[in-house]
Amino acid sequence: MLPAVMGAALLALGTWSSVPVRGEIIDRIAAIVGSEAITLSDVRDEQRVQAFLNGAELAATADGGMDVLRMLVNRRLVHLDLAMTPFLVAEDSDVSELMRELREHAFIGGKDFAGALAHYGLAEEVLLQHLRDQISFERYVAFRFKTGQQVGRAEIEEHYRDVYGPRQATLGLPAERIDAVAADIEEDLLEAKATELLELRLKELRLLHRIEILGLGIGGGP
Amino acid sequence: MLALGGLAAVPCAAATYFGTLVSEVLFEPPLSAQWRQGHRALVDVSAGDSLDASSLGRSIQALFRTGRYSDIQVDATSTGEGVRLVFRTTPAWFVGNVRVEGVGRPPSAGQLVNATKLRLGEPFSEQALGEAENSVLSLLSEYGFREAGIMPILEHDVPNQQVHVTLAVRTGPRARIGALFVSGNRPILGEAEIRPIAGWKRGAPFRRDRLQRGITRLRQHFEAMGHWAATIRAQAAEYRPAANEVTLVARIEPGPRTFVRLEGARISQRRLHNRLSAIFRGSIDADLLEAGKASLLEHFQSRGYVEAGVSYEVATAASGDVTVLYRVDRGASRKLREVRVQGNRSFDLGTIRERMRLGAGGGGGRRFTSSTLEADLAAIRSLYRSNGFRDARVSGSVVLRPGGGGFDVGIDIDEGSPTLVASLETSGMAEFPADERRFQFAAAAGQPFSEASIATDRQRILWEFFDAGYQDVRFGWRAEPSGSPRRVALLYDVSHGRPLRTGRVALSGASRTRPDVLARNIELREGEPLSQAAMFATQRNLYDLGSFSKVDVALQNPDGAETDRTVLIQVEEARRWAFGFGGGAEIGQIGRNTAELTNPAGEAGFSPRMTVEVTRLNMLGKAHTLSFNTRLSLLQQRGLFTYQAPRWFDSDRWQLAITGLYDTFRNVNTFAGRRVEGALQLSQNLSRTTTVLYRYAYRRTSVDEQTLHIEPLLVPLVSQPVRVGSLSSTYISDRRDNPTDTAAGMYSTLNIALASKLVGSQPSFARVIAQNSTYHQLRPRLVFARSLQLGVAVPWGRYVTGGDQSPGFARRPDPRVPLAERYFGGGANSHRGFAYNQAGPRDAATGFPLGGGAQLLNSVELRFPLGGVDLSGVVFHDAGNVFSRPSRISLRSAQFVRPTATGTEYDFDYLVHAMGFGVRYRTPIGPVRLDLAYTPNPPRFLGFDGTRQQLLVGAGTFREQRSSSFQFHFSLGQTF
Repeated sequence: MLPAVMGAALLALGTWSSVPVRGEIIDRIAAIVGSEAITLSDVRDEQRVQAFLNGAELAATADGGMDVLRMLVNRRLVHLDLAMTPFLVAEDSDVSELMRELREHAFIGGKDFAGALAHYGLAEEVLLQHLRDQISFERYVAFRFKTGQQVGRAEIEEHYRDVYGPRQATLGLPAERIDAVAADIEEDLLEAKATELLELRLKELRLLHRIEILGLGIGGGP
Repeated sequence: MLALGGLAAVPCAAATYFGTLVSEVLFEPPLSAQWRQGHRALVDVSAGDSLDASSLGRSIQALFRTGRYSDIQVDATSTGEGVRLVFRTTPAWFVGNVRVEGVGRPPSAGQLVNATKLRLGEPFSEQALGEAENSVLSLLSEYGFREAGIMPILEHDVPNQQVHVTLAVRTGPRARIGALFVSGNRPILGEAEIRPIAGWKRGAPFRRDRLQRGITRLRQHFEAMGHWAATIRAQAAEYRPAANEVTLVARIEPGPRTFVRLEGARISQRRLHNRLSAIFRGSIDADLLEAGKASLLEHFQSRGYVEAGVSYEVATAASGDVTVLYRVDRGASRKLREVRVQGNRSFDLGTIRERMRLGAGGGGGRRFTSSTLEADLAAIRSLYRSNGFRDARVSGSVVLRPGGGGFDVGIDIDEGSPTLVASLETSGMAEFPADERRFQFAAAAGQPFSEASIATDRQRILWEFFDAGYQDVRFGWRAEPSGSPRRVALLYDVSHGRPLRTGRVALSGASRTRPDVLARNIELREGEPLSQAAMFATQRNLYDLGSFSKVDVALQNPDGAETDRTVLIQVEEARRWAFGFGGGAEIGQIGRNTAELTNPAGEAGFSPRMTVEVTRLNMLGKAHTLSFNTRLSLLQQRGLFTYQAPRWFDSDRWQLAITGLYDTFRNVNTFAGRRVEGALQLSQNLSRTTTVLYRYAYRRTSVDEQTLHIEPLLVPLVSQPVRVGSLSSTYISDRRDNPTDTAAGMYSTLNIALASKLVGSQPSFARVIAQNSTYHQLRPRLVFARSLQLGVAVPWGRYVTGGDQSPGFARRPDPRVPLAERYFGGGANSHRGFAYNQAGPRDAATGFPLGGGAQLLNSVELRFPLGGVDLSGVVFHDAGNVFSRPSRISLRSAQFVRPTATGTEYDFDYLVHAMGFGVRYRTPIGPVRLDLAYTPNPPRFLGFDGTRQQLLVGAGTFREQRSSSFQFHFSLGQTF
């Protein structure tokens, strides 16, 4: 009897020892868009890039991770849509120009470009990719949602009356004459229209493509 | 500035692991043997490396892109030697077999499975399953199942990562048509009128197809009332569960009535409606009026009014009704006399004319319309352009002959100079493991530059690449000036991804078929290039086994980035038992054996027929078939067992059939008999058109003594049972365009059979039958067909089965060939101048047919249209007969009759002619035909008026008789 019990115990021990013990999750698939995965590393990289570009310090909590993930999902959807208009995708020369401007910029704590990258633990390739995505995205929006859009004089007047005037009053600032601010209002209205159309398109894309949010934490939770 | 997202920051405790040494990399669950090597190589982190976040991210992405995982997490544990990484994966699932059960037709099972949009091999998800359920419910709703519910049953096939989905449906009762509401601006008909017209009877089962049929019927009704532009919509608006009724709402906008009048010419209302109703359906505007004008012009031009002109006026009444008046100036009727083609130097007239409809054979070639001319010009242009004459100009004109004597069509061709290929280069094909012989390009240096040749080359290249496992292949071409005038340098540019290999071949759905049978028919081999040709061939092979009602072959995980692809083969086994019942009748002078001797030439009769067939498919799981077929009629009672093995020797060229036959027959009125036969036959398909049969048959034939209508002295001998063993081979070459109703081609057969003691036969004889038929299409639906059939039976040895051997004027069949083995001829599918099996030598005492040792039959037919698409006629001439012996075959048309000491001797070895006409009506199972034949030289013979008993006792009277000169035949299929 004893040998049998010992044998069973040894077998159980052997089986247990062959299953890797669960450790701390250091990376995982956070979301799936179409046939592409967005990983936890992608979320972290994006957070670093945002902090780098905004000159902000990295926070020490997971707050906002889901917002970044949702933003990355939208970006992937736009990428899938860009496949139909590949001429909008940014080229190396466009990205280089932006990088050159960035290199001349002063960063947090007076650090130079390389020092700032090191400060945020950011690889230069990640930043390059972010800039490429950003340029492509701007072109996409301009081409898809701004081309051909028009803002009528009546809309400008309505905005001047209902939004601009009250806002200036709230801020205690004098309201300029409508002709002086018409161009700015027109640009704001165009931007608002484009944003609205982009949201509609993203809704369509969400229906067209498989999207699964698996989460940022252990066990699939956010 | 628009931006996707905002700022947030999540550094993590995990950062503490990055930069430390990796001690171990594990997978949980461990990688299966199939993926171990490939997937491990995708991980960019190894023991001994410093842990790097970007490498880890890349590894997860690469693993995910294989499509094999639905989730991947990496966890880390510090050990004394560094950090241990565990890739925890969740396998992805893919769609396997999909079935929808519990629904009575309609909708069909196929419609329901299609509605799920779950495709074999594609990723499976709960979301896809939910959408599938919704789609099925929606389809069921359209067919009246408004209370249907679905219970999905999922069966996980873990080794193949497949999910077999069964949607178990509880349909509930089919809803009925309830109330009908009619709306519209100007309703003409109310509910009471609409219901019977549309077939939407209250209480009738509601179905989508019934709704659509009703709309079509209503539209036709409104068109007949002149409302050509009526719009009709109908839908199921509301479901009332308590009454299980669907309320229909029909919106009918009749629109104005349209009256079309014609001035200057007449055309039947039906034809006018046919021509214009489709054009004016929905609305009437200037473009549609022009289209109507063009349609009428085409009508008159096609009837020879080549100068016809049409104009129109439109008048709208206060009621909104529209009257369209077409004024036609027909001009004189002229016939198309000649189509002249000139200017062609590089192509002969025949090559050009075979692309043209004008001037072609058949009635259509004489029907001129502007659109036909334009189509012909386009076809000629295309011929030139595809052969390098890029500047070719082709124009046409109508030239009236003076004095109303018809008109000619002239086609002028200005060929220009051809552009030639100076050189041909390829790029992107270096990696392809091709021997150059595969690519004998249609385009080549010195050849005309032709886009048709490039299209041919493109197809060839793509096919070869696909066959070698390259899936994402793109072909482009460029033609650049070569430096010489009218010479271009041609470049083929091929781009492709990595070749794919066949990984696992996963077969499912077969429970009864033996694995070795399946394996033999799968042409995909693990590790070999993933060939599309092999996938198609596998599907075809499995279908050809006849044991499966459905065979799907698909790649699992089609969007995954794997090189070794799992190929899924999903089969659905057909029902094992099949039953068939049929009925029919033979009508005509069918020559059935009766007790009377008075009518040896046969008489008009009717023989009902019943057939029963039972088939057992996939015997023993070997994809073989066993069938039992019975045929019961007044002329024949037959039972036939057949065991068939397709793909014998694992080859689609060989088939084996073993048959057992029990047959009692009385289709020759001379005798009734019984045949028991066993046979083994091998079929070899040499090519698509050529087949050779090898057959061994052993049969015992006995003749019922009581039914023999021959000279009484011979009865004991002839009625002896005889055993015949024969080896035979048949060569069949079938190049007909349509075997049931041939218009062109050739059909030839040669059958050689040898009956000998060596193969167990009592009598020894050789029999040869050869047939050659050709079909020539003179014009569309005008076919000249001819057929020659020759058969001889040559006996040897001493075995005698009956019949005399008198060397007299009228020879009788050689008695060494048994009665039932002789040639009998005459009837609907043979010589139409005879009733069924009435040709050839006859018994000297009774006048009944004795069969012969040879037969010759030559038939010619002219098949022509009679009116309508389905009705056709035929005039024919048959010449031939069954002859007593091969040496007695004669082309003589007169029958010799000689008085002898004992009476009169009749010779039957002469050629009987028959001519006649017939009609054919085309049906889905072949033409139904009626033939009437007249024979100027039917045989005379001595017959006996009386019974067999009277013949035996010498009572009764002998009387010279003659086969009828007129015969009629009613049958199915063409004669040959």
